[in-house]
Amino acid sequence: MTFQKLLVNFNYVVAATLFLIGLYCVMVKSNLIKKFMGLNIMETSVFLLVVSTGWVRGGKAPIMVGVSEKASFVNPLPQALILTGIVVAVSTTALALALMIKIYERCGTLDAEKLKGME
Amino acid sequence: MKRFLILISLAAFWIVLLFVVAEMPPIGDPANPTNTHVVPRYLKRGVEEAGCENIVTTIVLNYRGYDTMGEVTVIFTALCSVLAILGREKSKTSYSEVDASPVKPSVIIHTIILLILPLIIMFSLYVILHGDVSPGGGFQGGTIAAASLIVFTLVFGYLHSLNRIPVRLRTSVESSAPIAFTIVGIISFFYHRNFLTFMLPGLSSNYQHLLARGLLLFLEVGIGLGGATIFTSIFYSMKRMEQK
Amino acid sequence: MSIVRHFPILVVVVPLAGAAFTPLLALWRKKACMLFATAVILLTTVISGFLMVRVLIDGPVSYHLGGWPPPWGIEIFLDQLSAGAFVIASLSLLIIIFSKRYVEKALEENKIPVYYTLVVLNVAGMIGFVVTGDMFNLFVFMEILSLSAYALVAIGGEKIAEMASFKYLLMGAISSLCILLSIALLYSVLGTLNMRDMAVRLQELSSLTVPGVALALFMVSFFVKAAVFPLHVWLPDAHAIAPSPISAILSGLVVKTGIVGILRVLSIYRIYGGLFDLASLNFILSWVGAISIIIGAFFAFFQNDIKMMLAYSTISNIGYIILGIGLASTNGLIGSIVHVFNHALIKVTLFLCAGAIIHKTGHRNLSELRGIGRRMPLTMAAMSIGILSIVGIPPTNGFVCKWYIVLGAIQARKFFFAATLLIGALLILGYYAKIINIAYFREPEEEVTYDEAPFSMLIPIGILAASCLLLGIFAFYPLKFIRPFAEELLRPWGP
Repeated sequence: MTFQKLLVNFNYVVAATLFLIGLYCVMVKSNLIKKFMGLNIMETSVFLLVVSTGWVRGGKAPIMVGVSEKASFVNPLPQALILTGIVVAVSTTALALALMIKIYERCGTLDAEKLKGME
Repeated sequence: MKRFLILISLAAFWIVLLFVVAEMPPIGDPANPTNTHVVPRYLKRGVEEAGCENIVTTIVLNYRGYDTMGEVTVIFTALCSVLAILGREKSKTSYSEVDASPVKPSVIIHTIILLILPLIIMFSLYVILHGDVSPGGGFQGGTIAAASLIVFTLVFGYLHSLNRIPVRLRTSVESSAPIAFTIVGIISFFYHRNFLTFMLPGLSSNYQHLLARGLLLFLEVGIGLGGATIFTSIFYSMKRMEQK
Repeated sequence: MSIVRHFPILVVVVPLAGAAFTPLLALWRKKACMLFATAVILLTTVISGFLMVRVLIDGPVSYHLGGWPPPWGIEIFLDQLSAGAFVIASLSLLIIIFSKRYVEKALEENKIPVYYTLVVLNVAGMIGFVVTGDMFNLFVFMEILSLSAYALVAIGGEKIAEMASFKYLLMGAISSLCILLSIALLYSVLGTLNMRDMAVRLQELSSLTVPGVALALFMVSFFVKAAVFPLHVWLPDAHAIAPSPISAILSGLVVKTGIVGILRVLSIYRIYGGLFDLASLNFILSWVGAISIIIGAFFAFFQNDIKMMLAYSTISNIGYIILGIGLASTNGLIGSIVHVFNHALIKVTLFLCAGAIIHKTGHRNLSELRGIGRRMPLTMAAMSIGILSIVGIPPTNGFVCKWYIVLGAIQARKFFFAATLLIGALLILGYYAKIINIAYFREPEEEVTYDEAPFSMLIPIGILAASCLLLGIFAFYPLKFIRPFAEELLRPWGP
């Protein structure tokens, strides 16, 4: 029964798996850029999860040009949330990259282990 | 050893998430809580109440416009943060590898970029202005325009690119998105309505819709311009190599 | 046109628009940025003061943005906890006045306008965070305040500042992402994003797995934001290395938004008596709080750097607040919420005094600050008042809230925690007595060339120290103000 439910919610399973792959990258990789790519993978997985909640079987894109009002539409609210979420993710990445540029200019390395030793 | 412990704990977390995911409402079911509680009003009455055919843009700018105002402030904060850490490029002494390398870009790339760039910018303007009847919107178009400028800088070099958009112009335009939101929001104060109301009372119905669409367009252009300039400025800050 | 009706949204829009105008102003004249930022925050303080009085008289206030009723639109919901907006705005005003002389010496000249922009953005984010009634809006404003906080830690430009900021950024970004995940999980089973609507619909659910895991993720993420043990590792470096006015904002205000987030989540879930009557959550909160108190106080004792000591003291006091929330009794909850506001006031006082000392002497280590009580008498007097407050000696404000938390522990019949609170207070007394000892009762080692701090620094410090005493004497009023919120939170859900 649980397995059937998981098959129907396959998007969510993929999102959960990607979340944990990203978390693994953040925790295990020692290069700072790779840590941040792990964070980006986690962010993408959360976006996938949110947008998947909005899909309706047989639904069309929610644009009311030339379609009758009785047709079924995909849920537009998660898409609006994710537009904001993507911008927030990009902003965090921009800030992190700026910090990494500065750290590289100062210390010559982006390896977390070596940086800890330099403190 | 540490890696093994991390793997075990992450695997346990994964099993928990799988149980959670199995309990969530099935995907695609029109009777889900997400599709039945709040959304039917957006779909049924969105066009007449809020003025746009693209329901996603209606939600983003009209029903949940305050969130979008927060979002443009987030991107503005990112710009200020990058400037606080890296500082603006100095127009006299900054250059990039393309300027310093003795090899000029090949004729093929040169010509193709010069031909395609106006088309990309026109496409981004189309996405910004047409965002209320087709997928798109202010932010999407702004990003496309910024991407075209980044391609130009990568191919032709830093100095060419900086001359086209001077710092003072960029500084003025970067703030345009939060300021556009503030202006549109305060207009509704004069009609005794709450902040960010688009359907203003006391006007005939056609004029009301026209005004609402005009305000939405103003916001879209503001967001698009602001987003494009912010990304370009962030790129310029990050790309510079100073002359010693 | 009555502008007072629109105050709930203006309290957020004024600092937001002000921050957007500051770079334009910097193009025209760089020196004007500080005055403009002061004017914007002064206006925000006045507006939030009006709002606090209105909530006191009329009860909670609701404002619908765009005219759309919730849950279709976003609402601003001001309850007694949102009076924190006044605390945020007034403390930030004093911090900006203090910053004028400090950043002229500490930062490069071309970074000063962007410093003021980021501080005003931070204030806008915090005020937007505490006044909103919509969950996703909470997330957006949390990102505004977090991003500006990361940048302000690194603005000094030293190597360790950037690394501390990076560690803070990494942990903060992961926790923000987990909060987004929890919001997504709750949205998928509830279908709404408005906090009060969520609280109603949550009680009608059949399966508790999804909200339960969402609650766990929320708690862990807000523990990172509030620097609760064991997720506090980003705090000592970030707060000690940042410029002193920024340390004041971070330790005094930004970590408190984590606590406000926890309180908002608890009021959505109605954990005292609804479907989620979780004694285990209170258990975890109490233990984590108690361990934070001891660990914070213990590490603070061995620090030589004055700002590190204050940063570890923040961890200890956050432990007090979490313990008060976990005790699930009215007095404990009132004491801990009032302690959120009081500790903000005290910590800002202490960090600004430390900042004045560092600005004038250039020394941060206690061993180099001997005899400073005689050289900078007014600053050290204010710092001594702050120290008395944080130890909890009457008639300062720190005494009142800690007393209420101890009363709450006794009321909940958890005497072990009452004992922990008293042991924590003794440890705190230990290390702060060290400061007073060094400041007043030792002779300076070398020739001293410094004297009292400049006026623009002394005035904020003086106002803050006087407020500590006043709020201690008139402590009844904040407690009475918060009581309706605490009782609402603890009220059992039922027909």
